[in-house]
Amino acid sequence: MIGFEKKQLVIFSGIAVVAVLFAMLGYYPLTRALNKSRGQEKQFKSMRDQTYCDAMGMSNLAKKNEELKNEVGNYNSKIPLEREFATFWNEMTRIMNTRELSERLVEPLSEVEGKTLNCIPLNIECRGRLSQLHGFLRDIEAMERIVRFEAIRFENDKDYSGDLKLIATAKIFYRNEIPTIASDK
Amino acid sequence: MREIDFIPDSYRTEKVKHRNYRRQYLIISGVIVVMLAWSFITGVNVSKAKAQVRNEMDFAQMGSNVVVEFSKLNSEYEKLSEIHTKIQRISNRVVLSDVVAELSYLSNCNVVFDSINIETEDFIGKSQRRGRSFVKNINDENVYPCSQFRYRVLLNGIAKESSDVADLIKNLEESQYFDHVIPGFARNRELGSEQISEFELSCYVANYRKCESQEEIE
Repeated sequence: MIGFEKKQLVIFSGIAVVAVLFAMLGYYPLTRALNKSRGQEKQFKSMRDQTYCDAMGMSNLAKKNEELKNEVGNYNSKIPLEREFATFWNEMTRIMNTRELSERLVEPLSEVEGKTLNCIPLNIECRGRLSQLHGFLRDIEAMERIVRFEAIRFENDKDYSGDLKLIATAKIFYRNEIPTIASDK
Repeated sequence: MREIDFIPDSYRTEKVKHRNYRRQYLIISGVIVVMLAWSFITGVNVSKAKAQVRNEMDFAQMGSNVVVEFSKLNSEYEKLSEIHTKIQRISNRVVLSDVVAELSYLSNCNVVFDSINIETEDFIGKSQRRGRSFVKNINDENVYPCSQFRYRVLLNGIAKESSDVADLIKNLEESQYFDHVIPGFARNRELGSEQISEFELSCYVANYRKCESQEEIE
């Protein structure tokens, strides 16, 4: 083993101090900064991928939204926020008048209440020719408000005069929810 | 004896010492160079990474509009889906006036219906009474009508000949509007002075499809 001189030992000590300083002031902060930057880069990259995916899916989603909007139509008219029975009754009367139906009856039964939706069952009766009753059904189905038929019965006269009686059970609905700005729109 | 043997030992020791010094200096210089090189390269990498992060941040800022827009569209989609499901659950899903028109088209002039009954029936087969097709025991569901339903059509009437009834059954079976045509009865009776055929038959409106929200309901 070679013995070191004092001068050499001083130099070695200096180098050791430089190495320690390098580790503390150079290596550690630089490595830390590098890791941090790489972590951030990775995070932003995943965000960018997400943004890219969103951007790619956006047109598809917008298309789906458009389709759904078309299918849903005017929600407030289909299921109004209030009972709006008078409006409905008016409309029924108008249709029955237009179709020149006789022996008319539109009888609301007791309401069924739900958490977000209420339902008004109805008994509907009227008399007319098949073409008139068909037109009546068609007009009701074309109404904006949803009328759900549970049962429809056409009864012919005993003497087969051509006049039919329509007896139907139907339901209309209205929302039982606090109106929001979005739903008002 | 060679010339080198005359070189004094002190000179040789000095030479070895100097060689060792050079070696040590070289090693020390190498270590310093490595440290400097590493610092330089890492510094460049850090600068590059920071620049990249800045770029990504700029992009993220630009993309944030897209994300906001997307989340807005998504929430709108969810809301519309919910409404659509609700509407699907309560709507007829069948144009009944078309069913009546098709029945009229399929029956020839020798057939007269006494009555036509169109009623909802639970798809499992359990007949429902009029106005009672409610699903109960499910939170808000007492308002929703049964969504797994189909329309059963019951026809009662008279025909001039038995063959007219057979024709009607054949027409109903061939029609895309109806399926499961089941003859109830067909018997002869007198109407005035004429022999007529009285019949009853049932069928189902064929366009039943499972409600999309069925899984949610059950």
